[in-house]
Amino acid sequence: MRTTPTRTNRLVAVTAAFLSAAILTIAAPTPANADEPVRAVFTNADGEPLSGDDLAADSARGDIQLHWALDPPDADASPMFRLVGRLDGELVDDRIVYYEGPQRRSFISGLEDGTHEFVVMARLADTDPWGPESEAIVFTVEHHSLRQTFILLGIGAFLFIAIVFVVVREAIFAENPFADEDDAADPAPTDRAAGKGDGA
Amino acid sequence: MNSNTTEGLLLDPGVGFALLAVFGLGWIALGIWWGRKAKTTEGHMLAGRNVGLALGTATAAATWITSNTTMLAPQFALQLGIIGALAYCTASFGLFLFAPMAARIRTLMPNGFTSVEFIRLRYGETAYWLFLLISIFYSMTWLVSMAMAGGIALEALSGIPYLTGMTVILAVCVAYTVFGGLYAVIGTDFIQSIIILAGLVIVAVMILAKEPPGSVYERLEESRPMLLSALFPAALMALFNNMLFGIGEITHSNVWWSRAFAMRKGVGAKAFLLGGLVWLPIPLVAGFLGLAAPALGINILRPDVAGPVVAAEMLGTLGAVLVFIVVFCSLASSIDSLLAATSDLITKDIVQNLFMKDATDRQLRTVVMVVIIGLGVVTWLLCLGRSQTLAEVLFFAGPLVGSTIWPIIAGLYWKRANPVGVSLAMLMGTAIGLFAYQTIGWYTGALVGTAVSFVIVVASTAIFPREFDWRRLRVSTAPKSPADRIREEAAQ
Repeated sequence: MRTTPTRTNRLVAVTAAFLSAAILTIAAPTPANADEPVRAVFTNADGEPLSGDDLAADSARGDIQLHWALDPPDADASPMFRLVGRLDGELVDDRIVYYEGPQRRSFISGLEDGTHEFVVMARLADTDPWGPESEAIVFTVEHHSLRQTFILLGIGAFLFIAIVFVVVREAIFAENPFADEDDAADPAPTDRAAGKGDGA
Repeated sequence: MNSNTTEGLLLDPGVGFALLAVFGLGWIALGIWWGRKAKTTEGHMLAGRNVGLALGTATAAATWITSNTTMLAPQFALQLGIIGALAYCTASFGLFLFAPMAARIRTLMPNGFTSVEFIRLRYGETAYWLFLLISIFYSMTWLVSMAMAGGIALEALSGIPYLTGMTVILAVCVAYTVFGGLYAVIGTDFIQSIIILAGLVIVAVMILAKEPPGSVYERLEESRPMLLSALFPAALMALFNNMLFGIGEITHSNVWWSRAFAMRKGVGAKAFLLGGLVWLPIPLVAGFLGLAAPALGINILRPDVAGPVVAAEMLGTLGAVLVFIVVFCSLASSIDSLLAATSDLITKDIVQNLFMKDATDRQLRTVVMVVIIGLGVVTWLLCLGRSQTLAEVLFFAGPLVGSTIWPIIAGLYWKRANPVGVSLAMLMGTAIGLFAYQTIGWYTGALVGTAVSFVIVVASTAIFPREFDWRRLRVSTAPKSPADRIREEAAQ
C-alpha cells in the first residue's frame, strides 16, 4: 500500500510521540503525588535504618524515643506522619494515636507493663489515605518490682527522718562552743546569749 | 491531635537574638556597676559578708530556681508522672534543712570562705581531697547541665543554634561574674528572681485558664496511665532520691556555703527558710507542663524540652517570649552563682592553699578572675557534645553529693565524728551509689550513696570516736591583723 507524504509524516509523528511517552514513563521517577501510597519506616536518631542497639528505650521506666522517615527518603516531600501504638492483647481498632503531624520523632512515656507495638504511617496530602504500616517496633515494659521499690522507699524515708531529727535536734540543743567569746564581742541581746546557734 | 510544629520555630530567631542581646548586655552592665563595690578579694568573693534578708532570700530562691527547675521538673513529670512532679518539689527540703545549718556554719566559722576549707580543718587532708574532688565534679556537672539546658531551650524556642545559645549564655555569665563577683551575682539574682516569679505566675494562670487539670487527667488516663499511678515504681524510687540529692547539693556545695558566709549574722536561717518557701510551688507549676504535653497532643521531641515547648505551644508568641525570658533568667541566676562559688573554691582551697600561701589580696583577685574565665572555657568545651538528657547528666553527681550529707552534718554538730570514717563514707557512698545509678537507674544513685555514707559515718563515730577542738575552725580562719594588711598594702 502506498501512503501519501502527509500520511507518512502523521504516522511518524504519532509513533515518535508514543515512543517518547513510553520512554519518559519508564525513565522518569515516580511523581510525589502518584497514586501509590508513601511508606514510613522507623530509623535511628541519625535517620539511618534502625538496628536493635539504636533503640533509646527504658523498660523499667516505660518510656521510648522513636524516630522515623520516609522510605525511600524524599527531601522534596512534606509528608505527614501518624504514630500509633497498642498494648499486646488489645484490638487493632483500639490503637492509640500518639502523634499525627510533620515531625519525625517523638518521646512516649508512662507506658504500662506489657509488650507494646508501635507502627508509623505516612501520607503526602491531607486528602490522601494513610500509607502502609511500617514494620512494628515491639517494646516490652517491665517496671521495677514493688518489693525493690518499697525497700528503697523505706530506706529513703528512714534517711530523711534521721537527717531532720539530727539537724532540728542539734539546732535546738547544740551548744555554741564560742558563746562566751561571741557575747563579749557582741553585747547586743541575741539568741546566742542562751548558748544556741544564731537564728536557729 | 495537634499537628504542631515544635521541630519548627515557636519564636522568630530575630526576636530570640534581640532578647538575648537585651538581657545579656543588661546583666553585664549591672555586673560592672555592682563590681565597683568590691574593693577587696573578700568583697568580690563574699559581698563584704553583709547581705541582708531581702537579698539573702532572693538569692537563695533564685539560685535554686535553676534551669533544672524550669526544664527538669517538667521532664520528671513527663517521665515519672504525678509522683515524679511531687518528687521534684522535695528538693525544697534542702533549703529548709540548710537554714539551721547556715546559722551553725556562721557561728563556727564567722570568717570562713568555703565548704572545702571547713572539711580540711574539721577532718584533715584525706577527707579534704575527696571532698574537693566531689565538689569540683559536682560543680562542673551542674554547670554543664545548665549551659546545655540553655542551648537546648533557646534552640527549641527560637531556633537559635544550640552552640550559639549555649556560648552566649555562658559568655554573659562569665563576663558579669568576673566584673562584679558575688555583689553582681546576688544583685542580679534579686532582679532575676522577681522576673522568674512574675513570669511563672503569668504562665501558670494562662495555662490553667486554658487547660484545667481535670481534662489533662482524663486524657492521660487513656494513653499514658502510669503517669497517674501512685504505684509507679521508678517515680517512688525518685521521691526520696531527689530529696536527698537536693539536700546533698545544698549541704555540701560552696554555692550555698558562700551565701551562708556572705549573709549578715542572724540572717542566714531566715533567708534560706523563706527561699525554700518561695521555691516550693515553682516545680509544681513547671511539672504541670510536663503532664499537660501528652494530654494536649503536643509532640515532645526529647523529654528535657517539654516545659518550655508546652508553655510556648499553649500560649503562642507571648508565651514563648515569657518562657524565653524565664529560662534565660533562671539559667543566669544559677550559672553565675556556680561560677562565683567554684572559683572561690579553686582559688582558696587549691591555688592559695597549695601554691600561693602568702599571696596578696590583689594577686588573689586576679586568680579569681582567671579561674572564672577558665571555668567558663572548660564548661563550654564539655557542652560541645549533648548526647544525654539533662536528668542523666545532673543525676550522675547524685551518689557523690549524697555521700557528703552525713560527713557535713556530723562535722557541724558531732564533736566525735571520725575523720577516717568520714573519708571512707564518701568513697564507699560514691562507689556503691554509682553502681546503683548504672544498674537500677539514675533515680536511685543519691539515695543509695547517702544510705551507705550514713551507715559508715554513724558506725565509725560510735565505735571509734575522735575528739575535735572546735577552736581550730576559728583560729585557722581568723582574719589578718591590721598590721598584716598594712604590710600587704606596702608590698603591693
